[in-house]
Amino acid sequence: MARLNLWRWAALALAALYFLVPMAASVVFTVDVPGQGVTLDAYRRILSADGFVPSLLLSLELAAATIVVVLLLMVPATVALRLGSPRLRPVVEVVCSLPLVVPPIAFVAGIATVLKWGPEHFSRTPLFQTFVAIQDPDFPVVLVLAYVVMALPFVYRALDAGLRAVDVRTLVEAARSCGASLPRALVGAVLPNLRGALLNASFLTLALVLGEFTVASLLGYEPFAVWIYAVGGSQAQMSVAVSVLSLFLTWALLLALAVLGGRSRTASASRG
Amino acid sequence: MNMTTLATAATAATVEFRSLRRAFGTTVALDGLDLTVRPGELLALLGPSGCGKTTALRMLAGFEHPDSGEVLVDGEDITRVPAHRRDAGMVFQSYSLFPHLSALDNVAFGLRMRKVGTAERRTRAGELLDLVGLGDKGGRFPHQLSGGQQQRVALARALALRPRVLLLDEPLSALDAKVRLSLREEIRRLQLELGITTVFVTHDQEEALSMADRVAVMRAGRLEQCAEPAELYGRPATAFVAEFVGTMNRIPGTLDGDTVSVLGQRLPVDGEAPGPGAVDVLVRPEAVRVSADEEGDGRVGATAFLGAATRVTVRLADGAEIKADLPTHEAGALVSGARVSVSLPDRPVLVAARPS
Repeated sequence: MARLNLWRWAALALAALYFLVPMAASVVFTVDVPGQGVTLDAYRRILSADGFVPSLLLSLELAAATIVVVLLLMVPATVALRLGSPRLRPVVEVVCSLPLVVPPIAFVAGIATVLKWGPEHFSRTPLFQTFVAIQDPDFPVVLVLAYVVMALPFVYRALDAGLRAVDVRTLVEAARSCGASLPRALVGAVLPNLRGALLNASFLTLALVLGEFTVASLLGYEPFAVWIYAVGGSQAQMSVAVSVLSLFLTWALLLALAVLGGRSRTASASRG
Repeated sequence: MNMTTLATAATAATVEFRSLRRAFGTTVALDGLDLTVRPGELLALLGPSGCGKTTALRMLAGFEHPDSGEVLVDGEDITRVPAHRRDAGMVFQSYSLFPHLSALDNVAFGLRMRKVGTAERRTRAGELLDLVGLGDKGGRFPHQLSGGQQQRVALARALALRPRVLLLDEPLSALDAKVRLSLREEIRRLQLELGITTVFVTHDQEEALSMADRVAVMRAGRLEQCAEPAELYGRPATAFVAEFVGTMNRIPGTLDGDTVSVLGQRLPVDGEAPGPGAVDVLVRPEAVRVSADEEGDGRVGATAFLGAATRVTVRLADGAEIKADLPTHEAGALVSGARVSVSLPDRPVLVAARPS
């Protein structure tokens, strides 16, 4: 037992070394200016820097929209797979895993081609307006669409694991024999038991969108990750400060989501 | 406990299955099932797996639809009525409680669906939990309850809407033996108290015989026999029922008109008989008499102590094996290898064609 513990500590120490040292080094680099001692100047400059707030807001909006769309798409799909056609499951699984195989660079090249090709062919039709609208720089819907596709593998896996833990068919039948129609059975008996899976899927999507660079950058938008890169090019210390800040920000958001999920669970449990 | 609020409608419902037919691909689950459940009775659907008993129950619940035929409750055709408007409470095999709700909220779920006010719904759910002996466990979540307790909660939940029919889909099969016995008695007690028409699916014949008013034995999508337990056991209508319910010996004999010669005796044939020639005579172990006899043509093979009785397996000279249940005090002398003679009581016997 003691030996095992020793090994555990060794593994933990190694992992800590690998993860924590670079982070600590980053933090030190941002606050310790040679000749001036410890200063938070770099962080102060971020908050007043051009584009910090808009790019962060854009990223958060994109993340929220992506989470909503991908869950609306995948929750009914995965539940239907469990209830109606389990034989289609491998097909959906493969389709949802495709984005892992296609590199983002190939993906964005395809999107860019379509976006360029579209206006040439549809310039005289109402569809042209659609092409303009989805590329609106204030809220690029095209990025949401791209992120939904990129989030599919993670969301599918999270939901599938959640559904595996509950017997969807029996829960639905039990609810129906208690007088609930099919939609009410799904909302009242199945969905609440997927809370953990929904939360997991949201976590993963949020982290994905906040950190996504390739697609956004190549399509010419400036969400948070792209902005960090742009700033980093000019000011080394500030770019590291921004990275550290974004790291803590992501943690804070994930923590907030977890707390929120946990609280509504106890709230629903105490409700009569 | 206020029984008046819990009792179901004063008149219990009649359930009728009329020539139900259902095929899944090439497998026929129900092949023209006709069956009537009388008001207030507990009817057990018994049969081997794949005989269609669960399909029949799920059709009554509304989870399956027949290819042809109809399901009637009190003479009213409900074949096209969706499951949630059927007024049938159901208890599933296992794990059917809603994991995110406490026991009390599970029982109150149906009432919530019917838009019953919060206060009334809590009161009624509490009464129902009292009824199944779990009044103090209302705040527990399913994962904090034992398997038996979960099934009690499921039973309370099924009764919450005062259903006209109670459906039990092998509710005891996931429980261990002791809990199974006590819950069996409890279900029966509740069912009698409420006088609710109940259909109980099981593959355990002992369960069916001990709980049910009548037992319907099914085989390959058809009804073999529906009768009271004593009749089913004592006068099985077919060879299949005879062998499925309880233990049955097949002893080779020769049929000749209305009599069959077996073990050197001539006995009248009971019920339908196959054509003349070599047949099997079906005899219960407790009807077989075994006595120590140096001249006998049987040898004791093995003995198994069952408590009050001992089951003796006798091997005859022609290779046939006969099981006999003897009072333990009589079986003491019959050690393995002892020579014995076997005889049957002078009563009509069931005869079945010999499987080739």
